[in-house]
Amino acid sequence: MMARSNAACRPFLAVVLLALLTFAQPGSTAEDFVFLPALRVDEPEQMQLLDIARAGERLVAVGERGVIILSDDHGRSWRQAEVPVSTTLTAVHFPEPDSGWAVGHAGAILHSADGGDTWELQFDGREANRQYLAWAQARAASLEAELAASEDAEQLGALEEALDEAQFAAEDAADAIDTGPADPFLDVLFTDAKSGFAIGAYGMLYRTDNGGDDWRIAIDGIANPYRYHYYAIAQDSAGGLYLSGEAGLLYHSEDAGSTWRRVEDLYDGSLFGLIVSGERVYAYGLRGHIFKASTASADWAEFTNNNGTSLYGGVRLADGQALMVGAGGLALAISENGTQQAWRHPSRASLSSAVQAANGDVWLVGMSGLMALSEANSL
Amino acid sequence: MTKHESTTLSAEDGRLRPLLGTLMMRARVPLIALFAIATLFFGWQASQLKPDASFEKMLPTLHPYILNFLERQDELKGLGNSVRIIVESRQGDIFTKEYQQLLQEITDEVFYVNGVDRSAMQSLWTPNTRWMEVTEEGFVGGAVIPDDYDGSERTLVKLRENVLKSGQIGRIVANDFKSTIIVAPLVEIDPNTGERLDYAKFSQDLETMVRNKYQSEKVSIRITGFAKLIGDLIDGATLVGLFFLVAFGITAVMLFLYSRCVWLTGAALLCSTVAVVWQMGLLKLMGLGLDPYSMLVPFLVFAVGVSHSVQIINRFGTLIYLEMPRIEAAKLTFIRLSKPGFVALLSDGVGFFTLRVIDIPVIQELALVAATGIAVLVLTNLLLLPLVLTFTGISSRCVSYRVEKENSNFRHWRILSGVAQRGPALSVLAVCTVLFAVGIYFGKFQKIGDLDPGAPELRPDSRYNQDNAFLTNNYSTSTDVFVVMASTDVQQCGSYEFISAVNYFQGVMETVPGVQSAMSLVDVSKLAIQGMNEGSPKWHETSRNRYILNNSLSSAPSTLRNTDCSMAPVILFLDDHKADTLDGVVQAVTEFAEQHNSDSLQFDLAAGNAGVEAATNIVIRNAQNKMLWWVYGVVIALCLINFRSLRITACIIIPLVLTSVLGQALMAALGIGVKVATLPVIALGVGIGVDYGIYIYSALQSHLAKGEGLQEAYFHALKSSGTAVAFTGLTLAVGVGTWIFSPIKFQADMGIMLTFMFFWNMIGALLFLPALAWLLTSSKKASD
Repeated sequence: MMARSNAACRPFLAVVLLALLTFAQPGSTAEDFVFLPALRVDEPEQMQLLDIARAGERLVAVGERGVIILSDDHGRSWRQAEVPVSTTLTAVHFPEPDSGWAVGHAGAILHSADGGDTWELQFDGREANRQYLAWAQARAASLEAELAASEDAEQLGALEEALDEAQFAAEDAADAIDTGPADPFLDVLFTDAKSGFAIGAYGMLYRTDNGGDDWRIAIDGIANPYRYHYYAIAQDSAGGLYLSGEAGLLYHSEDAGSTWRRVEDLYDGSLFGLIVSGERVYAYGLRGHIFKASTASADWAEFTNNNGTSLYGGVRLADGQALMVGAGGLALAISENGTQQAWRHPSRASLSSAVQAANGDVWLVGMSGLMALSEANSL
Repeated sequence: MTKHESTTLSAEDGRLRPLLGTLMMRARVPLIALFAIATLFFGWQASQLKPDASFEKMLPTLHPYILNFLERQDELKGLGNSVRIIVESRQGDIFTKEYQQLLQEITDEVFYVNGVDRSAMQSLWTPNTRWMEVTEEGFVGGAVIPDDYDGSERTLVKLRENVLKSGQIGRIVANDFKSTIIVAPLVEIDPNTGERLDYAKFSQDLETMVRNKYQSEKVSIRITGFAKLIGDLIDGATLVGLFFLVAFGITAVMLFLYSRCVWLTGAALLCSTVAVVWQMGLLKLMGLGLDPYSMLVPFLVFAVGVSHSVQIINRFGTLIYLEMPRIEAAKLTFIRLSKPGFVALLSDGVGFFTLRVIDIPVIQELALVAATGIAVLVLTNLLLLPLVLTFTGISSRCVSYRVEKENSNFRHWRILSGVAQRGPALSVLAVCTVLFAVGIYFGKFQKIGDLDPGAPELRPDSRYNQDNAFLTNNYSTSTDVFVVMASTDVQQCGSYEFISAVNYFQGVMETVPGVQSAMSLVDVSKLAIQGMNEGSPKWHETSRNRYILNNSLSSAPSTLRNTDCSMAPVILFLDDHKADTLDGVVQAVTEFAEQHNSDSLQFDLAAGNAGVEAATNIVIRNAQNKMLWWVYGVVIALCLINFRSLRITACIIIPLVLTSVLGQALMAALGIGVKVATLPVIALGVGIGVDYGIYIYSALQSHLAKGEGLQEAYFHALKSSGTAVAFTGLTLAVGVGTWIFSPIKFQADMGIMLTFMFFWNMIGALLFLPALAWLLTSSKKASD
């Protein structure tokens, strides 16, 4: 728990108690299917899969209904892992071969310490809601105190406005507690074995420094007043962090995520993905828009391409190419010198992510499950 | 033994029958006139019979699943009742000027077919087929046919792009882009006239206005859908008239070969036909239609009528041969045969009537109609036929044929009677034991329900099923649909509690073998939320947030929830409708419901063609044994009453059991499942089959009583009734055998099974019965 003043703590507790009481109301006694273990599926690789990653030599993919699948033969055969939730999982990252995290809807954060075979729930939307409420109330309390102390008329107006916003956020947060664990995390990134970020809908940004023993809300250093969704987070070799999201959000952090600088006026549409390849970083998204910067300068510019379909995810390939995948089964690779190659998978199913196995094979995941890039037709 | 036929009345003939016979002969002219008037009346009624194919009558209406379905029927109506017209390009793909022009014309044509719900029609050329795309500014979209479409290469390219963005591939556009569908939902009740849709006419309209008009070397037209299926069934059923004529013709030839007398043949055919006319007229009077299912009954009535007529003309011929005057001969025939005839018909009728124990209306109707037909036969064949014979008499050729026959030495019967001796009897018994073993073994593979893909009512290679197969092969759809009704409190079908439960339920059902996919309101919600978030696949999930959830359901089609938002159908698409698949689904749903049902959440079985079939299978599985107990109980009771001997009863019943066992094995071997159509077959087979045993053993018994040895007695029994039994077996087999060629699968299945049962029962009575009699009499002697 974050340190906070007593003043902020008391109403927080009251609301939590209230929330617990409302949970006990008859209308809410219905079963929560989200927190039932994932069902065993005959051919889990044909389920809708949303992200795929390497855990050492092993491949791990996550998707709908809490399905997590593993392959130890570079993608030829798959088996299903044991997962304690049945909500849709959206992203997976293994900073070390044995230790990895998967995140998803209902604010679920899962951890595996055995390379993906078994998973435990570290965090979910109920805790996320509580932390967000506490954050909003603490902010409102500190603004109130500041307002009481302030005498500068000009500052007063701005403070009042900020207080209104904070109070509005607190109301929102109280509502969210009534609603229950809802909003999804959309990406997860660990910068080392213990430190990581989980980001998602409505500006959710949580971090841990102790391998997920506790996850803390970390939105003090980022400006996102309209609570747009965060879609992707990535790190370059120098330790710089990139965060992209809805409505053209793009941030850069040079202090390991404590503060985030917004890249302004780049684009209005969503940026669903980020790929770092050597000195280059790509942000891409809606209707095939791709933006490129050098990690040194962080000067962003549109990378023109003639593809008009949305790109939802991607991966850096071993040869340095950035592979982006998206709607209608499209895959697009950009080499280091900027040449492009495109494929379309015959299923035309929307793709969400990709990975390169240790043997070089490239696998795509999306609405129709797992597919090989080799099956796709070159365009 | 016909020479021993007494021409004078004896005590055995009783008093009532001679009295009746005298009265009858005295009033023969008015009686025949009365029959003629009645026949005209029933004929007039019969001519008004309409072909009718009601699926509801084939449902086990008392089964809880069906009760659920019937209760919700109106709310589920929108789910299925539409026709799909598939327009396939024979040359190249659908993106050509010619194809699109034809498609537009056909769409316009379908628009004007009476019965089509015009507002809900869909094809590439209707304005409700749209493409959509997410842009920085939000959703943009339009009709798939470009506004400036002129058939040029440029607009065709644009059309192709729009189709790709429309999400209709696999739905109304084939996966291979070689065909598209015109979906025409139907209006059950015409809003202008208030009349129900006439499926036969609708189906005919589609043929003339669409298929015949537009099918060419450029495009082929395929039509599927419930209405078309019914139409094809009614069309197929009309062929039954032809089958009747064929059966009539073959029977006439056989009758003539048997009697060698045009007059006797004509009289027997006339009376049996009169019975059919009456029976059909009564059908109309009882308010029933000409159902493809109970169409079997006129054939049975005719065949049973002919076989009883054979007894009568045979006896009449004998009496004439003994130089009795016609009227006296007819009267004595009536006196002698009305009692056994009545008993035999009664046993047939009671046998049929046991089918009433099965809770499936169409089977109960069959039982009623068949029992009525048998009752009619009592009047037409026992009463009318002797009267007719007094007028027709018998030709002299027939008499001379009879003399010849009497003087022959009956070599074939002599040989056959050998089975009543030790050696042949043992071989027959050994063969029958092996057949029992084989039958029981293969009978284990007998399946419940329908086994072929497509519409099980029609043959797998029928045009309808070919069209259906084309649809399932080229589109992402299955035609085996199992619907589970998920219900909650009023106005709660959009609550997260309900939606998440249905979502989880779908997940569970998708793990059940044979379930391809599940679809409900939940999928609409997931897709809408994904759409609201710019199509990102990561958002393809429902939401606990009630604003988002409500918003996501605002555009849900009304077919996916009822009007007061208390029920949402969950549609399961299955690989097939085999019983094992359906059992697995039923079991999974039941388990889930047991675990999760609560006051505000219920999962109820079942609707959809596969759901209905699952319920039917359950009823049939339970009914099969029940029916066998009843029918065997009845025939055993009749045998015991008639013969007052367990031994004789065993001799008659065991061959029937062998037929039943072999019948089940045959069904397994031919891939015919136990279903509504084949379930009554065994009862019909046993009910009619018992007659042969009774005839043969009665004759055998009377000769044994005279102190003859078994073989000699059996030879004499064969001589007097063997021909009649063989003839009866063949007539019945022919009567139902023509059905094998019916385009309606279940009629064909009934035809195969009944033909087999009638024929094999006859063989059993002629061969197996005497061998059993030998065994039981010799063991009796041994024990004495």
